[in-house]
Amino acid sequence: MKKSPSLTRRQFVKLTGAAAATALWTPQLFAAQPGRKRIVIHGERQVTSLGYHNRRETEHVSIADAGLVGQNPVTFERVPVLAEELPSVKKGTWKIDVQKKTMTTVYKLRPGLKWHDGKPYTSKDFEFGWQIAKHPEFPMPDRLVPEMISKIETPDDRTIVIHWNDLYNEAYAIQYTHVRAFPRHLLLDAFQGGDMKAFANLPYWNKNFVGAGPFKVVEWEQGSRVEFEAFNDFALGRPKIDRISYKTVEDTNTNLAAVLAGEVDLCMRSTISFDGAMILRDQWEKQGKGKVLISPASWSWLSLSRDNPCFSDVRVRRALLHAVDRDAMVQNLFKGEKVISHLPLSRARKVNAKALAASTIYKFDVARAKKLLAEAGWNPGADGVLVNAKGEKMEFEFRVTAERRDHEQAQAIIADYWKKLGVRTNIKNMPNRLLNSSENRSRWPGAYIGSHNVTVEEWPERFHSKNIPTAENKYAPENVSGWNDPKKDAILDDINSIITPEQSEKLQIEFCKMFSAALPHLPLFFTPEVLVMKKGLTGITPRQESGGQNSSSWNTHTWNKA
Amino acid sequence: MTSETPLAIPSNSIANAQPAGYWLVVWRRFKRHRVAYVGFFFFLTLLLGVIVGPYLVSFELDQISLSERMQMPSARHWLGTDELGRDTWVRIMHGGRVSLTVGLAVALSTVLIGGLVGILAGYVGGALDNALMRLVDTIYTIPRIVLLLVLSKLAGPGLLNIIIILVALEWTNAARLARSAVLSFREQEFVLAAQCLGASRWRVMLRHLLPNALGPLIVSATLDAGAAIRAETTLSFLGLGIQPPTPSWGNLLTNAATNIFIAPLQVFLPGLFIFFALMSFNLLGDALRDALDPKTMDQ
Amino acid sequence: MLLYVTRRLLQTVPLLLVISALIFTLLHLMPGDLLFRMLEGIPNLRPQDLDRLRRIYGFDDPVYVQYAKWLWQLIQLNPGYSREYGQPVFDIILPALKNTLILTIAAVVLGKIIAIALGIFSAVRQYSIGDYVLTATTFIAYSVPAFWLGLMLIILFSVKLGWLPTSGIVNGELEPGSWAATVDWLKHLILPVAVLAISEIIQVQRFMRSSLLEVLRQDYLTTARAKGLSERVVIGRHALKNALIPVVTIIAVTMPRVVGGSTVVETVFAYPGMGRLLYTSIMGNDYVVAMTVVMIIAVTVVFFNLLADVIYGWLDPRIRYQS
Repeated sequence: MKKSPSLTRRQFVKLTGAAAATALWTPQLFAAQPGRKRIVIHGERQVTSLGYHNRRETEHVSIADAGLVGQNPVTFERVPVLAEELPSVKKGTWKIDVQKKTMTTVYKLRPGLKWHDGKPYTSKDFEFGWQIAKHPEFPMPDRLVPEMISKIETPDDRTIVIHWNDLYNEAYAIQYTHVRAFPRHLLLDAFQGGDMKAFANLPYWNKNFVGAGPFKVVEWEQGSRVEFEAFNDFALGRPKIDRISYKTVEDTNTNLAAVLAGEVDLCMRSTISFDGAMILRDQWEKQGKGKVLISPASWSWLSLSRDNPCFSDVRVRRALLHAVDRDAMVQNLFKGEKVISHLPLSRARKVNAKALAASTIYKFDVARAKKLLAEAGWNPGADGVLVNAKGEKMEFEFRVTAERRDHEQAQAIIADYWKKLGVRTNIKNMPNRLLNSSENRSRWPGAYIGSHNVTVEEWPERFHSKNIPTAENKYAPENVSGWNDPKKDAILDDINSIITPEQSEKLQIEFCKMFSAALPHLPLFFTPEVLVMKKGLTGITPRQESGGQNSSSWNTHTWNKA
Repeated sequence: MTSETPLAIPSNSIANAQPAGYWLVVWRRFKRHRVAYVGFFFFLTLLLGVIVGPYLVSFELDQISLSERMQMPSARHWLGTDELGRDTWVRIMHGGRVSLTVGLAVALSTVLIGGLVGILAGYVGGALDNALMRLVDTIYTIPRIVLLLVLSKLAGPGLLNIIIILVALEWTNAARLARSAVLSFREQEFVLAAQCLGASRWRVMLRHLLPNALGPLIVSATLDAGAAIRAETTLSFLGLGIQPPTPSWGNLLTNAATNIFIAPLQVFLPGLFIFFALMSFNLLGDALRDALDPKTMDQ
Repeated sequence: MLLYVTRRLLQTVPLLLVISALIFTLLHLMPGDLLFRMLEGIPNLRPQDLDRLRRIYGFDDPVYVQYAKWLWQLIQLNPGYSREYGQPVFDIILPALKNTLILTIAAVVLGKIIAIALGIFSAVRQYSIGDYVLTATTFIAYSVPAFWLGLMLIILFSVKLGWLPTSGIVNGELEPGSWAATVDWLKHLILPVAVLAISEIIQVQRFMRSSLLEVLRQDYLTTARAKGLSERVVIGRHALKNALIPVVTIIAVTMPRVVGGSTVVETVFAYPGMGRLLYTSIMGNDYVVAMTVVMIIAVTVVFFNLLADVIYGWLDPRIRYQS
């Protein structure tokens, strides 16, 4: 079909002519000034703004922006960026009053901080940033942290004293997505002008962004390209790369072609699909043209509806997990990448090995699955489909989000295993655009393969029984599993209170043990995140966990190009 | 605007005086048309293929075989396998059922709905004509892609929804064709005669006007069928088409595109079938156009 | 004539109003939450945050109030801000419109000239080998989806040959306005223009062929031939002029695509134009942008339809307009 000889020839002649002509006329000046280092990054999502809007797109934001504290996405350590050091109880810079439920943290800014426009960056700017964040007319989505702060004092230009009206275990590591500074000298007038709609739509938030990150915005082509130049006065030293071109290319095939054509230095997040990564391994990495890094980032699980009574028996859930050879499935889906998951806990966390040892692991065991189902009252009927005493058949809807290719494939494989067990599934996949409300997103009649972040910090969000979505809370909370157990809730409450790392580790292990016994979700695998970088690029660390403040571009100032 | 196109309307009197004779002439000329045979042959083969095809092999639509992923054609898997080891022949045949259903259902529905609206508007005239044609104008003025995006965002991804969306987009063309055909006949003797003999409005419309408006409508229907299959492919690319695991030629093509570098055949095959389908519809349309147009007679 | 045009222009006002109301309603009919897509994946979001954002963006009002507000702003030529991009709507649309116009005008001009030439060739040499080859090629090209053709060209010219860039519109580091930057910009245009031009060729070539064939059968051409005029003169002077009439109409009717762009081609080549903007704004519920784009395209459609009718009447004196 595509090989229409005469058409291609005509195209060929036309394009060859044009290409030859342009190649002839092009002066060899494409490298601009010699010695300058430039990298091209492709992203799959449109870059819409910087600052408080659109927090999802962390990659480009952390190129231009920096907060008091940053986070290493491999070790999950908090590292001071604009602050000199993290507040600590020992040094007296973090005071906690458990009785009154109040705290104070003191941050000291590094000396001589500057905004991208060269003006000094002061503690007043931080206080101003907080004023913006908590303004009722400003469209900042998540205001949990700004609302926990009761007052910010600025005794001098480098000291920020934050008074908290609640206990918050991350108070010692304020990152730019929580609360951050904004340049008073540029925004104060507009902010006090009162028209918050105009204020929220100032060109400051995109084209004219002035931050304090390692790179400054020099060109902003809406929806397609942002050019960043190294910021000489960055707090942690001038970046080694001189220029970053960040381009948005949505089509994954085009991105793949761009890597193969050598046009792009770095592809982060889901810019390249897993299938694409395998092709690159085969046809690109082997020739020494670059590296394809795959890290298990977010967590894919299978959830059996909390509304469906036939899943309320834990034996049924265990049987359905026993029936699936996850090793073979993962082997096939991800070509041997070891991403199988047993717990909602990232492999990169230190506690992972101990947690696994303490938890129940569900191995592929069809006999055991059948036995468990029989115990729960489900036996094969005349047509091979399982039936219970009431004569109900084990038949339910099986849904995944349609654009998720890995989930679609996992679904096909799991449905096949279940079929052999006598479980009949009706596949009904929903495109992302139809899962367009919190309610649609949090309820399903049968089985659903979903995924989310598994940072320990987000466990209460995902598993606390106060976060079970209901009509009353507008389905906003995210414990879609419906797991309800007071003992587990108590553990979660403790995990996120202010405790020592050792205590925290013990509680995390306890939580994992309970999870594996109760199986609110059936754990499947960690979704591999693909990072592709051209030969010669150094300093890039792929994040090991999605969510939280983890971003592979947390340290752009240390990146280098040979 | 006017919709005068060269595929236009048989205005010749042979057509009107003896409808039966007209269709005979059309059939004879269609038979003489070599291209028509080719188109017709392709169409029948495809139709038969997708109906019988899946039963020729022992694989089921969703039968996964992880040990046989992305294979080349063999005696076991005639057209190879996809990334889950599913048999490509079975998937393409099933996809063909879906895609041809989309094409034929859209074509039939646009002719029915558009035809009726057009005849009604043309024959009754007056306020009704005005109202219906303003509606047609309105839908026509909204850019295709806008309606396509908005409607498919609104509706679910099911087969029926896709068909409804495409019909909602395409019926206006048929309505205009039917209306202008009816307008050119309305005042002619045979219609007037039927009215004088006391035939009811509906009878005049169905017995006398419909057959005469049918010519251009059939031509437009064959082209619509191809256009619908094409549109489904575009929708699949945008993620708005028939959703896997239900296969359609469009989503088979789109989903295989990623594997172009390792399994080019899996991309090429659905494309080839789309080509066959579109070609057969177009050849058929061309042949019918020539056969139905008295002006090209005896060429 | 003037009366006719005025009347038609007046008719377009209610038409555009109906269209805007229709699309606006359809965009808001969608079940679910307009803000959901934007907030997806943001943890710690509480019900009160949802309420606050809904109020800020004005989604609290009933649909007809939102529509009235939007319409009033549009009439003042100030359609407000894009929620997705946080910029005035026209600041988003104008650059996209510029990019699309460059792309589509190049494609249309190129495509239509080639198409008319090929159409003439096919008609004059009807049933020759050349005609058959052309017709077959057109069929093949017609059944190749644009995204697929685009991908093939990228693989051939960018990956295999390395001559042309895969996507985008500029390299980014070259001095804007310099010679090198201009050449680079042209290189970025070649592939998308080629894909769009091919679809133009397909549509117009077949139309030109049948239109010319139609004219060639007319009696007055037989007369011209009988007078002993050469075939070249017959076709060049008499037939072509008449055959072009319906073609011009068709071209005018398809012109709005010049403004609307092509969602598929712009997505494949990551070209920041109107088609892609339309797609992302509809899918992302950025309805102020979506509505404005729709209205710009609708106005163009109406205008070119009117123009087509006027041209048609001007070229073909047999047609009379009744007022």
